[in-house]
Amino acid sequence: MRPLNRRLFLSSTCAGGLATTFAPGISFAQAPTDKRFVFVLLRGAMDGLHALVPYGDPAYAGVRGPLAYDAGALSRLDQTFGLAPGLAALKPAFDAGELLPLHGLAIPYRTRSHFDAQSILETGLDKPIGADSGWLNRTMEVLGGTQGLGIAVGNGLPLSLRGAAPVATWAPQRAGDRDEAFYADLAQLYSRDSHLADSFTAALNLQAQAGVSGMAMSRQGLGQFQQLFQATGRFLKTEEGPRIAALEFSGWDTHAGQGLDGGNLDRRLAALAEGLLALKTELGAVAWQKTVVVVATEFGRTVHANGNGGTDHGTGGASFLFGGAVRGGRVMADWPGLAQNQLYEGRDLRPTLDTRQMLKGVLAQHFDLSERVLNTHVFPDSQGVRALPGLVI
Amino acid sequence: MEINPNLRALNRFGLGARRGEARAISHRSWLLSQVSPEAALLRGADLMSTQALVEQLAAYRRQGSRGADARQEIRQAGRDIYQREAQAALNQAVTTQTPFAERLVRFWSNHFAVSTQGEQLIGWLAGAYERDAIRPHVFGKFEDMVLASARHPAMLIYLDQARSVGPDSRGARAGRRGLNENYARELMELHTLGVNGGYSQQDVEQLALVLTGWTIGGFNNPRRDPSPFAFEPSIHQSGRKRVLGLDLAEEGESEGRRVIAWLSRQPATAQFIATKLVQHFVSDDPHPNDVALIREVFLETQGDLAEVSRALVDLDDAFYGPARKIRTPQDFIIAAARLLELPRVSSQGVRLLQPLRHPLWGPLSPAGFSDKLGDWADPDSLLKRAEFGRTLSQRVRANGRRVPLSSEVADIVESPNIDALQALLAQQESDADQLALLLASPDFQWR
Repeated sequence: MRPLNRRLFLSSTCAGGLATTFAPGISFAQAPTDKRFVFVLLRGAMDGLHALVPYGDPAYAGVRGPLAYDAGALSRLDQTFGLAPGLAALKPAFDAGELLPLHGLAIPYRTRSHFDAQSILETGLDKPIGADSGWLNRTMEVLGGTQGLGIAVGNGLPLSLRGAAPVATWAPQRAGDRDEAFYADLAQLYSRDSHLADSFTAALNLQAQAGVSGMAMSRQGLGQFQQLFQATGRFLKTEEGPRIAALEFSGWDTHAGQGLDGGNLDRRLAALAEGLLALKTELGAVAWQKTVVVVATEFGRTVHANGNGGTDHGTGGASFLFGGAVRGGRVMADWPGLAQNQLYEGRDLRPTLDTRQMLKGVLAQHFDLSERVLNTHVFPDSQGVRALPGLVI
Repeated sequence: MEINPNLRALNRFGLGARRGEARAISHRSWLLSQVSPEAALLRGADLMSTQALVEQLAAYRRQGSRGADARQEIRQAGRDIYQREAQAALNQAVTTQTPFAERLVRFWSNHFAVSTQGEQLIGWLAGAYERDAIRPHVFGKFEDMVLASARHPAMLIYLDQARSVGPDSRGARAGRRGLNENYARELMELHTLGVNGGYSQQDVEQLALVLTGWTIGGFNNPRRDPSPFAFEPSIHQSGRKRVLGLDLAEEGESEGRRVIAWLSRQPATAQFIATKLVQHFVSDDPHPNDVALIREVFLETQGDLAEVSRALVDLDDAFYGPARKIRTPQDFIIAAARLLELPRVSSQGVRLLQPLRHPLWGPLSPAGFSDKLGDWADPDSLLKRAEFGRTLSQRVRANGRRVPLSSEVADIVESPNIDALQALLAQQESDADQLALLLASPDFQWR
């Protein structure tokens, strides 16, 4: 089966050809959906045990050692799980049923290579075979693939969003030195180029929609979370704007000095939470009710701390669903346990959920995609992977 | 639109027109004069040989590269090597007098892509790979290039061939890893036959068995001397094999050589390569007649790439047809630097390719980078190019360089709206503003 599926992707990607020009912001009257969907990829492997803390597991404090939280430091969600201090700002959303944390997830292929694991998470396949289209792009194809349906926010175009369906891109420009005359002249020139005119117009429209942001873009800086989420909110709430967005943040590969409350990782989690809340604020009440955000990472990290106060590449990890359309207020996990004999290969959280189960569940319920389309096109060859029910209102 | 075949030669087959060039050359003879093996070599750069790189990596291993400090040291050394190699390659692209030869180097290097994304050792080896496995064969035999690529440590690592172990070999019984099909599959799908080239999963598995034992000297067995390539009998799967109708008796290393020659001569390979070449130089949607022409030359000459390159120059569509190609980000930056006659590319210039999603030797998949409009003309990319144009022109002003005048623009870019471009350039207040607008203009994004 594998070569056949691979062939499908390659040919469908090539078939994009000239048709794949980029023209968001031109006409969205025919936008195929008013649902909003945001995929947030945390590159580098966020430590799930650090973010969604299984404080109630009797083995927790023992196995985590110096990286174990006191239960009192956490925002407790139930008898087993609590949110890390950095994510405390999301507790009200959990109480309001808008946050659904999941634990014990993993991609369907065992690898501790960031690159291979991210590639699997983004292509939606079960092996790292270098396909060059992603499940989110194929979702857009299924939804009609209209111009401007999807957008990549930030530098780079995530693999999940690559493929035959056209995608817009936006990244913050350096603040404060825009030369209006220069762009006016350019717009004049671009308006006469039949292939590039739409894309350039879209670029200017997106800049305008995003608004001027005083923050400078820095790839690792924590300020980028709020900046990019805010821009995403502005795009998605626009009547004729995109409906699907993908963002990526690196810096989660905490091999050393992970810290606890207020430490390295916790500050990054806090920036993520702040960003997510900024997205909610920007979207406004109406769009928020139609929104699902998926926060995912390529794998979890080792259960035990390493010699440098960090953790190494592991297996099972955590994800978050966030949004007005999420059926949250509970933690979803078939908890595998942290006792030594319960661990995967004696070191990692044992995976009990295939990441695709979560993604399929969200797409099926949010966009009303059929099982057949999900099993064959969006996540090829995944008949045996059951969509999780009840994730979305 | 007025078509100037000389300008087409400079932009479409070369790396961007400089002032005055379009009037100084005659398109066909200028291109044909570049079809010469020496023109494809990297000149004047003092870089480490593949052998020296493999030895240095082996030395790191022997010291024991376990600790975090040692890993950090290897990473840093790899970054330095990559930076030097990338600058050398881009410097040549920016300054070469034989840009058609250089374009072919870049085409083939991308066709047989390795990638620094995801595998840090490739940063050490990617530049040497292009120098040693690609450049010497750009005007040689196709199958020699396939073979050189197959035997280079960059490819052996990137597509996991070096770790593939015959399941019934002595090595497998000693507990080493098993068969890895990755390279065998891509050799057929991406390098030779193409995805619809008529091979089966069984051919992939058989070819993977044929290639077991192809590895890097000292890679599996630290007692052996480090060398870029070694055939390791202890991990070779012995016995008969059959790949795409070719029966192979047990012959060790030469089985792989025979299959590579066999794959290189298949009509499907000729068709696949011809399509990619015409797509790259002429049109995203190549005309079947153009493809057929290149395909026939490829087949008749058994993959003589000098003849194939000459045949490309005979495609009238390239010089007079309506189709245009988008410049990739690398092409765009190189063309800008050539126009300004910059003497070299800064390290910043190398890093700039990252946010444009086109880092040198860094595609996201072994299929290499696309060269199609749909992959490069997204909104943010156009803005980034515009900003690059502005930044560069400001820097050039500081350097006091002469910049192009609006009257010369028709010899630099081809445009259906050349009058509008010219008029707008003439209105600019300074040379630097003219330059910024030209580089940022839609017309400069095409070749």
